[in-house]
Formats: sequence, C-alpha cells, structure tokens
Amino acid sequence: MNRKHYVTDPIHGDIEIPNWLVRIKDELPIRRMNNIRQLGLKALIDFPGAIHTRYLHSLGTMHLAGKLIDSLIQKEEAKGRSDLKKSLSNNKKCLQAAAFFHDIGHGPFSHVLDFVMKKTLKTDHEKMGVRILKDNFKDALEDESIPVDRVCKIMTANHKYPFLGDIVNDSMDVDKVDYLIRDSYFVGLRYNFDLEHFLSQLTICGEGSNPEKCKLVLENSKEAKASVQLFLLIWKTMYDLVYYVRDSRIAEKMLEKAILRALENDNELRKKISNPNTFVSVDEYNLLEDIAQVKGFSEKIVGMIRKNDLYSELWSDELREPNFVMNERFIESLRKHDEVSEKITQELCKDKSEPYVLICDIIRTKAPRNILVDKLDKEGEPIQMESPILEALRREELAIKVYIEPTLHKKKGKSLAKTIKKDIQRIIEEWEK
Amino acid sequence: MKNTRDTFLLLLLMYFGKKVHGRTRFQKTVCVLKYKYKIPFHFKFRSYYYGPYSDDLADALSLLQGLNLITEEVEDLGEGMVRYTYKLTDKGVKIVNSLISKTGDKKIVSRMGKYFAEIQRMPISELIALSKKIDLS
Repeated sequence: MNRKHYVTDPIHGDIEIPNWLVRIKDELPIRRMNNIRQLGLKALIDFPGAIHTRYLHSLGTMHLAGKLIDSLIQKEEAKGRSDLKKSLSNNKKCLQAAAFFHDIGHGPFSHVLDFVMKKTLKTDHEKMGVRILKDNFKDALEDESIPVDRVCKIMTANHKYPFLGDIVNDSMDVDKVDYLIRDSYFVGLRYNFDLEHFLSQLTICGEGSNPEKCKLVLENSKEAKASVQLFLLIWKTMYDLVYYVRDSRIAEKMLEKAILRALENDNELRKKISNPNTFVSVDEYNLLEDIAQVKGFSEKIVGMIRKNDLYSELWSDELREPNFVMNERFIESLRKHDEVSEKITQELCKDKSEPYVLICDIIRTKAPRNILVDKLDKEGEPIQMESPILEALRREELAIKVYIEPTLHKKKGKSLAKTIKKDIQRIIEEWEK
Repeated sequence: MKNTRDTFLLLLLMYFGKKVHGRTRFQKTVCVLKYKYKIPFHFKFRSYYYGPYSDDLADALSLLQGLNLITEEVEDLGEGMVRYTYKLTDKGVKIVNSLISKTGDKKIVSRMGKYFAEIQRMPISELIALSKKIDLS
C-alpha cells in the first residue's frame, strides 16, 4: 500500500500530496516556486510577514480544488446526475494538477515581469506555463493517467466542459479563494471566512446530459449570497489595502523599469528569460542579482529598492472625463493601460538628463466578473446574482499617478507637481497624432 | 475602414441606440454587427454559455464606464432578476458628436445606424439564436 504524503500548511492544516506530485516535486520548475514569494516586493517594503511562496499557494489551490470537487461529486450524487458525477470523478486528478500548475508560468515579482514579458518578449505567463508543463512533466503526469493536454485546457479555461475550467478559472475559483485568505493571513490582516461553508455554496447548473452547457454557479439561497458577498468584500479590500498599496506599488514600477532597461542592455539575460528551458531557473534572488549586475540605471534601482530608498508620489488624479479631455485614440489605447503609462513615462522623461526619473502609473481597479446563480431565466440560462454590494464593486475606476526620483524631487518636485497635469493633458491631446 | 477603433464603434452604437438593454443583448449585438454586417469591430468572440462572448468587449465597456463616457443602470425585474442598461453620458455624447464630424468614413456611421436599428427590433431569443449560428472561426 502506498504511504500517504502530507505537508502542514498554516491555512488549510494537513495537505495531502498526491503520488504524481511526490514524483516531481523536487524538479527545478517546481522548486523554483519556493523561491518566488507570492506578493513579491511587498515583503521587502510594506508587509515583512508576506514571505509565503507560490509553491505554498499552489499546494493550497490544489487542496481546495480537491475539496470542491468532492463537494460537487456529493451534490451530483444526491441529484442523481450520474453523468456529471462521473465527469468530476474522472477528472479529479487533472483538475488538481491544473490547480497546482496554474501559476507555473509566472516569473518572479510576477505582475512586474508579466508586463515586461508581454512588452519585450511577446509572451505571457499562460503561454509560458503551458510550455513548461509540456516540456517538463508530460511523461510523469501521463504515467499517472493525467493527460497533460487536458490539464492545459483546464488551466487556460479552454476545456469543452466549462464547469471544469470554472473550478480553477472563474469569478469564484479556488485560486482566488486560496490567495485571498493566504495573502491576508501573511500580511497580518487575517481576514477570513469559513472556507468549507463557502465551497459548499457552489454547485453545477445545467442538464447532466449536456455537460458542454454546464457552469459552476452559486446556490440560489440567502446563505450563498451572503457568503459570496463576504468573499467579494475581502477581495476588494485586499486590492485597496495590499495589492495596490502605495510604496510597494512604487517599488514594483521602479523594478519594472529596471528590468526593461536590463533586457535592452543585456542580451544574455534577455535570452535567459525568453527561453522556457532557462526561464525555469529564474527566481527572485537570482533575478534581482542579474538586474543589479547591469551597470547604470538597473544597478542603481535595485540598490535603491534594497535600501527602501524609493521614488515618491509626485501627483495623482482620477483618469476620467471631465478631469481630462480625452480623444478616441487615447481611449482606445487605454485598453492596454500598462503600455499607455510606459509611453507617458517616456514622454515625461524626454527632456530629462536621466531615464525614468519620472514614472507614470495607471491603476485600473479590478471589477468582479459576473456571478451566476443556480436558477434559470425564461431563456433557460442561469441568472446573474443581483446584489448592491456586487454593483458597487463593479464600478470601475482609473487612477493616474506620477512617481519621482528622490534627487529630482528635492530639486524640482514642487514646480513639477504644479505643471505635471498640464503636461499629461498635452500628451493625451497629441496621442498617436 | 482600416483604422476604426473599437471604442469609437461602441460609442457610436450607443449613440444610435440611446439605450442598450441587457449585457447579453449588447454582446450578441456587437457579434452580429461584426460577423453578419461586417462592421469592423476587432473584438475576439468565443463560444460561451449564452452563445458568442467577448472578454475584450466586456473589458472595453468597463473601461468606458470608468472614464465616465457611458453609464450602466441596473433595473430590478423581480424574482432576483436584473437587467443592465447602457447609455452614453453627456461627455460620451460630446465625444461621439465630435468623432462623427471628424470621421473620414461617413458610410460606417450610416451602416451602423441602419443595422443597429434592425437588430434592436429583434426579440432577445431571436438575437441569441442568430448569434449562435455565426461561425466564429
């Protein structure tokens, strides 16, 4: 009989490590996740307790996927829908693998590197994740009857049965549940809710004979609605108080520019990050070291981040009419707001003696996706949850900010603060003319 | 029209519609305008629960709301059901008027007005059925 393997987790207690993971857990792409902190630079700047890693989050997500699948199997059994019960049982290992691997393609300081990878390497963490999974774990997973193609389809929400992908990739997926509770615990805010109760409020809506049309939805009950509202409030609060916290955000934007510069100047580093075979060795520690080795701007910025000697916020405003007069070219470009902020940064620094002494940042608040309820409308489709809390959270806001390098701040901060809005309005007016 | 921007076309659509009732109707309207009537939207659609759906379109609508160019109103239909209605803000109307006067392709404006009116007259069930027949490849 196989011995069962467990790890102890501060959030979920004992987590059982399945056999397929026991076989591969010491491989480099997985070990690397131990050297990537879930909240990246936030541990260095605002939240010293946030030392939890991507590896621990991946284990937690896999664990919750298992719990949710078991709960759904029980419900399907009670409803007598044997087709759906069978589909869940047959796919349990694949779903747990997809939950474990969902972040394997993320680099260190993940969201910082995301933008850099898109801009300079024309790839993203999803594509990278699929490559890493197929190149490194295909044989090991398929030996354990886990088809890697199916895992990839679930991870990227492309499985023909939507309810399977929804478990790891939807408005109330196990990834979000784990990272919210885990992040809040490690930053010290300790927001919490009853996980088992929350997961028990999810169910599958649709005809068992037509799994292509089945969705993971919320039970149609007051308890379920209350439970998901609490989840959404925590989600929103975490964005306001943790994910977009000012100083860490400034450090992240500084690091983003340092990496962009380093990749322009160091071809070897560029090759290392763009090649999936070498990307799997890039972790937080060696990436910061590599960036620090690139003389000039990149070296300086890494030194400043390490000393917590950060840029300051020079100015900020809401990016909306009538605060700014916008034209269609600018509005269309804002759909890729990271690229817009980089372009505004370049324009603002045009006449400056050093690059990136001013950094523009555009922050788009995250809005929750639609939440479907286990009740059909007259067209036979599940209805969307209605809730004043959900409506309030769905209201999108955009903020535009400019950060300034400390020396320039001392010399010219006051005068720049007075003119910056005019400069940005001028840049918007001239946008792609 | 090579350089027509999706956000401009969305604003134009709302300009003709005054109000667009329902997220589902909005998604299917844009899908039918793109594939059946060849209005040059670039949004990518995929088959989804309610027929074709575009994440990019949902994201663009959300952006236009954030910029205060359109508003989304919620109407309670009872029994836990709601309907979302989109319309242009005053600022949105001002921008569309200026865009219409500047655009080099006046045809796109009249075609949008004509086809949108046709689609508006369809009951939602008919629109969903039509959108589901579209080949998205």
